[in-house]
Amino acid sequence: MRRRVLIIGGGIAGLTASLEAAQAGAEVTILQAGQGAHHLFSGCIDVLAYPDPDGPPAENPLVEIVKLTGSRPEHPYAKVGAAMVREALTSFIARLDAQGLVYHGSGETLRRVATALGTIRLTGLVPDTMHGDPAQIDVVCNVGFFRNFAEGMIAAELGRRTGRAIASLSYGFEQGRRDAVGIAGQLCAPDRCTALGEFLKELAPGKTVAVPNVLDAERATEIKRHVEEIFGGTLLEMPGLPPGLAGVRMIRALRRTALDAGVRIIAAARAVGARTADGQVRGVWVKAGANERLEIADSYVLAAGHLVTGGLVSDRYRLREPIFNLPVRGWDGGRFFAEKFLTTQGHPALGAGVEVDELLRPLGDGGPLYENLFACGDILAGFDPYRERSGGGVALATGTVAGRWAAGVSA
Amino acid sequence: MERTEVVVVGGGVTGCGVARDLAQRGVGVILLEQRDLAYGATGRCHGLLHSGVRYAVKDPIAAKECIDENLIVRKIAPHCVEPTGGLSVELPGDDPSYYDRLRQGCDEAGIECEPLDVADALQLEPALNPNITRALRLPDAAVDPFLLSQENARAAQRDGAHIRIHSQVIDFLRAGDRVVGVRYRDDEGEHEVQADVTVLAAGGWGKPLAALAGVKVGMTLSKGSLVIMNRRFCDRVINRCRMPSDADLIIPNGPTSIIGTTSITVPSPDGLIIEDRELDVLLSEGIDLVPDFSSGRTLRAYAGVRPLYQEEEAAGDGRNISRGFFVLDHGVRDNAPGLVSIVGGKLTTYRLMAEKTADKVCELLNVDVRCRTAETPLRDAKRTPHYRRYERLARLNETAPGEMICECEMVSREAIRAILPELNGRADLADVQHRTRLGMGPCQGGLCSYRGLALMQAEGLVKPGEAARVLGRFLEQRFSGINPVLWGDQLREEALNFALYCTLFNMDREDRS
Repeated sequence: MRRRVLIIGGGIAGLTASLEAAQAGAEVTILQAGQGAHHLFSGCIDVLAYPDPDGPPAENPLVEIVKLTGSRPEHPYAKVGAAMVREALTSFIARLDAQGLVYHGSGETLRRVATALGTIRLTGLVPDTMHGDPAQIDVVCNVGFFRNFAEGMIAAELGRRTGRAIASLSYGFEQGRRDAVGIAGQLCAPDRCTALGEFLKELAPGKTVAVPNVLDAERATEIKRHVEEIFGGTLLEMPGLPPGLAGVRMIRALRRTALDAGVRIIAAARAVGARTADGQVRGVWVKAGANERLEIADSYVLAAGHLVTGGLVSDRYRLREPIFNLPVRGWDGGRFFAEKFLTTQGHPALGAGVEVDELLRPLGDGGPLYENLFACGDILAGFDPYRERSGGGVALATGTVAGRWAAGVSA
Repeated sequence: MERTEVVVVGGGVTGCGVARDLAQRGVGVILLEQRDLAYGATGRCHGLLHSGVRYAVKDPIAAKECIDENLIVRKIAPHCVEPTGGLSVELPGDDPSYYDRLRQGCDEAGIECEPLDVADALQLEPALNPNITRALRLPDAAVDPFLLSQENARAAQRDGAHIRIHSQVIDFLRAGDRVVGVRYRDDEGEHEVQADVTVLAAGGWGKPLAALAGVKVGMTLSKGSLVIMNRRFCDRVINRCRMPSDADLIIPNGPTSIIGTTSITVPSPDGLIIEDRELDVLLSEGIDLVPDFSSGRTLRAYAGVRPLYQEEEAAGDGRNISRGFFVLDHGVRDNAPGLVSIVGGKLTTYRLMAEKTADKVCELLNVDVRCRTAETPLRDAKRTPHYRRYERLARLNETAPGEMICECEMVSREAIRAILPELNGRADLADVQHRTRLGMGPCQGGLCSYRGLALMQAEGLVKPGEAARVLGRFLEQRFSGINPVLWGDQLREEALNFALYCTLFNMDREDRS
């Protein structure tokens, strides 16, 4: 009989685990509680930009990851090793490429991406729609009067940082929705897409033009190419306030890959508890609508994310992992956040999580709590994905490892 | 050097009221506020337009003043008031004799106070603790202290007064013993204004300012902390029917509820800290009044000081000091002619305080014009419907889609544009917030501050390269009120905000010096 693997969470970590487990021959089910968080973030894969709170940005993230093995053994990267990180990034690029979505980068250099605040963020892998030197941006152009995109302000701020004069433009539609998804939908209409190209051909021919993160979740590449052909320049998406389409695009492509590999995905199914006995997880209670039932598998992967997605929850005095009630480490019981919001040191609660062994099994005081439970992604202790800009890379690397162990093969 | 008849120091509701009153009587006024209007006690109060019931037993004069002024403010500033009405409810264990003394006190002060069956009270307010033993219906109301201050300032400006925010008084000008004006500092540097009379309406800052003028004003600063919950649990002001104590008031405020307060004597109006034990009391007493209270989301906590006037400073929590107010003519009192202080009092009686202060100033200036603020509306505003968010939504429906800048409080692009000229050319999102309610709802500005910033930038208020700094200043300011009550869903929200502003926008690494 095939080994049954139940994965809690359909984000990057959970989907990656599902692919690895399926590839190893397991019968895989993903429980997805909500729509995930990828529309909230940039769509880039952050690998590691700021290893040290007080130090400079990493020149070569993979080299910094090798160093972590010695200096911070509790870090998830130290537990899986730099070779695994490299392998996971490579697989991710290949898997998305097969879905027609190109990601640039290798984890060996930091990539610069201009944001919708006119600042520049440092990341590991960038989607093709964001791939371009911020210093080359000539024009910032709003599309569809998107209100989370202030083209004038971005042009002024970015120009200040790149040392060049940047123009701003706004291309609107007379009618229709003005939210990100609505604008994306309008741009899918061939006449509108062509009209944007013609608009840029007249006002910004041959230039590098930054637009909001609103190219369609499925057809972004096609739209980008079409507009670029008309105006002869380069179109770049800028990550900004949610929702952003680049993250949605990425997660949909991963999800398609998983479905193609035979993974079963159950939507709107929240894991609410677990049945355990004799050092084993025997089942997970799942709430779907008004029903609660026990999902049974041979092994389980916890990839529920951090506070934002409910992988961890809090009340006034506690930080908890709500499904298995695993111990949460890395938070001293004091304030959840530091005194200042904008700090390079990170916030105590954001660095907290579930501590695991080398096989990514959650630890109690005397070793792994359950032989058949593995954890991956943001929920892990030992690192702060927000401060370090390392969430994507950790999700890919630990998702790979957790998926393989869960399927019963060595990582 | 600039000259005027009167300089008013302090842009709380009292200072704005004094400026409005004097300007209406034809007196030349310059008002100087160190931060923004309503920055001090005004903007950190409950937002309660007292019926006077809180003072009916212990302080009958204050109670009478409250009910009289309550009725006047409703009349002159209906757009600042939400006429919620109020209930006073007795819980098991509360001293039963207080109920009767309260009714008697209300009768004597002229506060309409109607006994209500428990069943009727619970029907009006289903969220109330079902164990209440008795209830009274009272004419309390909710008031927007920011708007009330701004509207007084605007009325004063229409009558020729100058309102200067972010202008901090640093010294007094003297001619012998006489105070003949002030020196103040703003973004551009230091300035002097000569005035015939200088009025200190600076609340808790009145004491150090008076000291700067060589005058001693006895004052006890009593800190009150409050918590805002994300839900409107009740449609009426809920008073606990007992001797005024900690956490016995819940006030509906737009989509939220405010519970307060505590009372702890502090040495200074600056650097107030909200202690854990205060939160313990506020949250547990809140549950006593409204059992479902704990299911709400704590949005933020804040604290202000009651500047209680007292010739001899006393120990204790300050609850036994009169909430009455006093106009001090320092010429008579301290041989410092030209200087007048208005001390004590409360938001509800701000107009009366302003009237008495303006009377004194006019006497000193030999101006013989009677006060008309009690009968002149602050602006020709129609009575607004209960729960004003609906009104804003109705207005937004008529404008183009995408014009909503802040969803939680339904603040439109136009509403923000309209107040930008009042910012004196200074880019400060907190000043926008105080004037429009942008960012006062559940997300606490997490998403709309970017859009507000963009609007200020488009109007030329933000210099190139400064946007991240302006945004950062606001994010820190909002966070200081969120951090004391950061748990549960609000912690989740802040995790997301950190992911957006730092992980995505890189603001933790931006140079903000």
